[in-house]
Amino acid sequence: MRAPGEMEMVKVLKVIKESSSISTVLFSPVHIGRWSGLVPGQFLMVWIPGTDEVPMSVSFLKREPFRMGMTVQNIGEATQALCSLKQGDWIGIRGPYGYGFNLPSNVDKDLIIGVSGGVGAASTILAMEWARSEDFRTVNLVGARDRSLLVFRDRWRSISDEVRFSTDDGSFGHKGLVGDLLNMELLAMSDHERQRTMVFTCGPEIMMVQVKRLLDQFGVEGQFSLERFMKCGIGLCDSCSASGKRVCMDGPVFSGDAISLLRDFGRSHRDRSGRPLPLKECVR
Amino acid sequence: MEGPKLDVEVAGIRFLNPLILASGVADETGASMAEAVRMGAGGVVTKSLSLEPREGHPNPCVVEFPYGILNAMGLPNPGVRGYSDEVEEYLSTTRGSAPIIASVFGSSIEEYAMAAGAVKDLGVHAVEINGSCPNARGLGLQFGQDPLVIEDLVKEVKATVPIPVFFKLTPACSSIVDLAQAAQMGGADGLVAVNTMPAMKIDVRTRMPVLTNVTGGLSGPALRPVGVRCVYQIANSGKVHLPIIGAGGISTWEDALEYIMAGASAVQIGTAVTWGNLDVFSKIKEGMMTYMIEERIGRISDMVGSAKGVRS
Ligand SMILES: Cc1cc2nc3c(=O)[nH]c(=O)nc-3n(C[C@H](O)[C@H](O)[C@H](O)COP(=O)(O)OP(=O)(O)OC[C@H]3O[C@@H](n4cnc5c(N)ncnc54)[C@H](O)[C@@H]3O)c2cc1C
Ligand SMILES: Cc1cc2nc3c(=O)[nH]c(=O)nc-3n(C[C@H](O)[C@H](O)[C@H](O)COP(=O)(O)O)c2cc1C
Ligand code: FES
Repeated sequence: MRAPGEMEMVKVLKVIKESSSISTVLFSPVHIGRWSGLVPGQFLMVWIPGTDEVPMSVSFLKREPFRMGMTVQNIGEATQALCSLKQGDWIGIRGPYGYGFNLPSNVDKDLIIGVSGGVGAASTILAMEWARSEDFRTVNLVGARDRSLLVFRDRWRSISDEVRFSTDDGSFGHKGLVGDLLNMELLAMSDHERQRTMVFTCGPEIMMVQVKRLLDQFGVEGQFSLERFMKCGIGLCDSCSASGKRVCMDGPVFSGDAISLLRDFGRSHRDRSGRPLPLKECVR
Repeated sequence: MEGPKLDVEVAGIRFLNPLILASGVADETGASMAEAVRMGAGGVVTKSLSLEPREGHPNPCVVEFPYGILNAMGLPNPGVRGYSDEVEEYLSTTRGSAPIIASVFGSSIEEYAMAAGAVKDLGVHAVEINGSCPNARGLGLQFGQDPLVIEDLVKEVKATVPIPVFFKLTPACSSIVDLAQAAQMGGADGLVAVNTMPAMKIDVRTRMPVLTNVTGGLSGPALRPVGVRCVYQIANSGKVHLPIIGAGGISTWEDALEYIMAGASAVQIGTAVTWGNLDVFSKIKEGMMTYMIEERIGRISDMVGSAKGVRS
């Protein structure tokens, strides 16, 4: 799905504090037609006047009355400014950009497993709600560093046939990596079930590398949502370049096959000037 | 019967077709530029390179309009050395099928010349002097609006590199012919016309300019008539005899032919690749071929500068 996007100014309706460092910002655009076709996994470029413009996933989309939202983890200047927004403040949004998650046909697949890491949940939650509304069985595996970063707990429960949480420090759910949960899940399935499964994942790239390895090992299909430094969001500046693909436009969601061709996946990012950096320096 | 031929020669460099990927667009990496060639481009221009890396301006640096794009990227680039792997990857992937032109800039004439000297060693086929970027104070545009500076700048770069040197012109000037003539006096082998037009956007809710840099450069369809006019004026001035590469708002074969008939030997395409529309190259090639068959034209060069007004 692609749509050219002039910036639209929207008024903040409400800011919901999800945890000490994560907030959801709700707003209602006027040009509904443009946004209502948004596919979960697509993103916005969000202008915080006077601060920055940053890419954000859409974590909330509701019709009648039309509402959209994004869920932001405060990790720097722009995200801090987003989390500090007040009702009535103006922000600018452009989009929706890129390719979102692709819901398979019900004939081929019947189970969607969501694997979410940290604030990556902001992207997968909408996709998993969509899968559920299209009558797929849904399993959600949700991980974070600690309990305070584990967002949408009730929302996950309400849209999942099965939901499991993990934290690195064991402060909530399984102690360990969300990939461990996926491993257990896939181990318990028959070959036939695995073939009828699709995995949607978004989170730190190291986590997705582990997910990719497991999916390859078990022969399960998956879709991966990537992050790279974004300036234009529309495929011009190439700042989001990964192995010759532009993540803002060829992604941010890539199929497992496409990911296999991205040599940079799990290895390297680029900084604002375009210099390649090894992944570990970029992961927050 | 043989079909029409699309290949062109500009300043001694052969291109299989006259469509070149413009500087600063989809050219962060060797792989991206090679992809443009795979999709049909006859050549590419690198993003503008300086000696040292530059991060560019903070976001927002792009504004979309229905008729074009306003950008203030601010010349982000990893520096000539940091970019060498990209050129290497491009050359090894494309194996000489499409020339690569390195765009350079600096904050003084010496820096321009040093950057040009450094890119020459990467194995590029030509240098394009970006004397026309509106987006970085002290870099680019102030060099490109003064004929005396242009002449010195081109002279310095020519003295540094043995490969062809193009000078890229700004449309923001009172006489494009004066600027083109200055580049010719300096010894340029060709011209590129045009770069983006300085412009801006104000948000009425916050009463703020949207671009962090306040102003940016307008590209895309809105720029096309300006670019065509610039190329036509240079080609018909009777004073400038350099080959011209046209640029500004080209997205269809008619657009490309307009530039060629105005006097361009080849054209560059930037904004039209928005949304990954790299198939713009093959579509334009197809359209040109059909036109040339219909009009019984054998070569692109037969059309260069063929547009003549009653009073030119
Ligand atoms: C497609 C996409 C969707 C995203 N969705 C979400 C989301 O739903 N929720 C969320 O909290 N975060 C999301 N992010 C990440 C978010 O954009 C960054 O956290 C944010 O830009 C950080 O800005 P800052 O000024 O607060 O931090 P800074 O201190 O400026 O930087 C911290 C980190 O953020 C990265 N960053 C800064 N600016 C950008 C930029 N323009 N593009 C990409 N990365 C940048 C830096 O590389 C660095 O790693 C998404 C990123 C992408 C690419
Ligand atoms: C995002 C963007 C970045 C650009 N960066 C550069 C650059 O680094 N150097 C340069 O000489 N021109 C740059 N340009 C200008 C283009 O090369 C081209 O001259 C101009 O955009 C007109 O062509 P177009 O309408 O086909 O884009 C840039 C243009 C855009 C849209
Ligand atoms: S952000 Fe500019 S090309 Fe992707």
